[in-house]
Amino acid sequence: MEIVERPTRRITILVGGFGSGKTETAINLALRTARGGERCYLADLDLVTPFFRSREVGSVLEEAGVKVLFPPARFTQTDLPVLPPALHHAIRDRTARVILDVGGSEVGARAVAGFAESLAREEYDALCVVNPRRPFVMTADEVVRSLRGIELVSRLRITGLVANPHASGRTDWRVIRTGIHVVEEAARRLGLPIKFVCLHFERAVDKAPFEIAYPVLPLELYMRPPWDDLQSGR
Amino acid sequence: MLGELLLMKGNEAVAEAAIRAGCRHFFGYPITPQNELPEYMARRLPEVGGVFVQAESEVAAINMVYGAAGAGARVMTSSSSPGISLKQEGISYLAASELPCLIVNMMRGGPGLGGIQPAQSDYFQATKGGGHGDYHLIVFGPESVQEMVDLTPLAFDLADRYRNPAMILGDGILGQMMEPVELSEMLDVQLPPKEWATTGRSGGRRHVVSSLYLDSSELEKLNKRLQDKYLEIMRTEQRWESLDVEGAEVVLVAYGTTARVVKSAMNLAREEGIRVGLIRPITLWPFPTKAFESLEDVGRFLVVEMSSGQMVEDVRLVVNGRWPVSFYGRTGGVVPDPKDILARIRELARGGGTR
Repeated sequence: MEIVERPTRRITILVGGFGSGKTETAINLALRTARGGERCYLADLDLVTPFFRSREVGSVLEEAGVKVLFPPARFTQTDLPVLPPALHHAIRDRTARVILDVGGSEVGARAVAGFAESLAREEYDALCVVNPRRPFVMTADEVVRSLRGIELVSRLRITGLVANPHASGRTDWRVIRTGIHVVEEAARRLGLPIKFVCLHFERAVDKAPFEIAYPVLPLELYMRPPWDDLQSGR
Repeated sequence: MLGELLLMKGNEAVAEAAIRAGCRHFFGYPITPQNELPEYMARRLPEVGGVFVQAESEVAAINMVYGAAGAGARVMTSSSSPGISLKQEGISYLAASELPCLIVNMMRGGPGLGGIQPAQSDYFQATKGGGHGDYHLIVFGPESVQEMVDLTPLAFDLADRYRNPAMILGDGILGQMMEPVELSEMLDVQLPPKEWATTGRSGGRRHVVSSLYLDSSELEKLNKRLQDKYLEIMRTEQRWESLDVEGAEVVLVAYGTTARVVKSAMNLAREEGIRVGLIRPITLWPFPTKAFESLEDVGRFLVVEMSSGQMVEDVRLVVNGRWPVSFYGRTGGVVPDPKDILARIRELARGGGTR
């Protein structure tokens, strides 16, 4: 099984429906890239979600060497449309990888449209993260519709899909297998590749009762509720 | 269209649960952190032949709810703290006119415009009336996305049964967090007959929905009828969860998000050999007094809230001096940390601290 160690292109833009797992994917990708010794920026472009955003784990990212591009600290707990000021610089900095964590669905994807022209001059992947246990992306039809909507408002060409087949504490192999199938069917209709599959089942990945024919990004979860014992021990 | 197991935000889940419970009318006005709820309704209601209106204000929205409820529709609105304050006049009218509806409040930190982070500081407003006049809402305080889904149809049903507005009192975290949920199938809901609804007299008696009583004895009659109804609700509709209460050195009392934090703290306390119990009100009004009445062997109580101390007053009323009641609260959008609650539990288990 192939494990994802870093993004394939210099710039990776993560889009997708609300709650599809873009932020966890972005954080995990950024940490792996930085720990692998590469310079890496993570930019939080989420203007639509009030909590559970990548800016909340800034210290973990910075310790690992990720350069975080968040709105200025005084805006951390707001829902104001403030973008990280250094984003343009990061997009042009060809010595570093850049991961853009964009807000959910068409509404959230609008924030990246303003960067579409500078992004078009760079080598980028725009990946649509899909969790088929989430409302409005539960069938291949719905995934195709959602992805087209995001492409339209973001002015990006989406280059691949990321399957994130989870149901939090209720995730089992059936949830993973049926989820991958939905994303596969959508990918086939769109003529796009599945770039990787996110799995939070890290320890058991080798024991999957079926073959996962895609690279796997093992997920560690950072967006935890405040009663989580792990968080209180952190 | 939707499968059996979904991963949903609380805001989305309440909306879908309401639709499956037969709600076809939603009127609201946006405010963080509950916007996913109207967003979801705007998308889903047209698919099921329903009506979604983003009103010009909260005041307009609650009066649209009044109109739809008066015409016998299963109707809801949602908002967050400052928006719920704006709706209070209309809520008082709904209670006076005995109109069933569901109001969702995903609380945020106050007072004033406050912030957008979670809080529980609207407990007084929700459970003690909120607007002018003597009235109560039937108020639910779910602790998880699944429980919100399960309580939504119950809230609609009790609203119909008692002809009374019902409220789901959540907070920003419950609205924003994602948890796995199982939803019931779309029900073919047959609403109970509403003899009083303004659906046309069709040769019969004229139906009037109003809260205006210029004759004081008539208005007193209405008040007596309302109070009788509230007594009946207090007798029959109390709901709560009790965990390991008898024999506990410290019994925690918490609802909603805070109950989840408290449960984490209780696990830590048990590891240290402290006997802890929990009373978790599920109905906030009627307050579950029955959970406290038959208790014998408990040490003391610790109430934890995301407020400066509101529900603690109801606990003190029912405990009535039999045991000491302490309070720990965080405000302004700060969520209590399980370790800080553990520290309070330790102190109290050693017999220290009275606050």
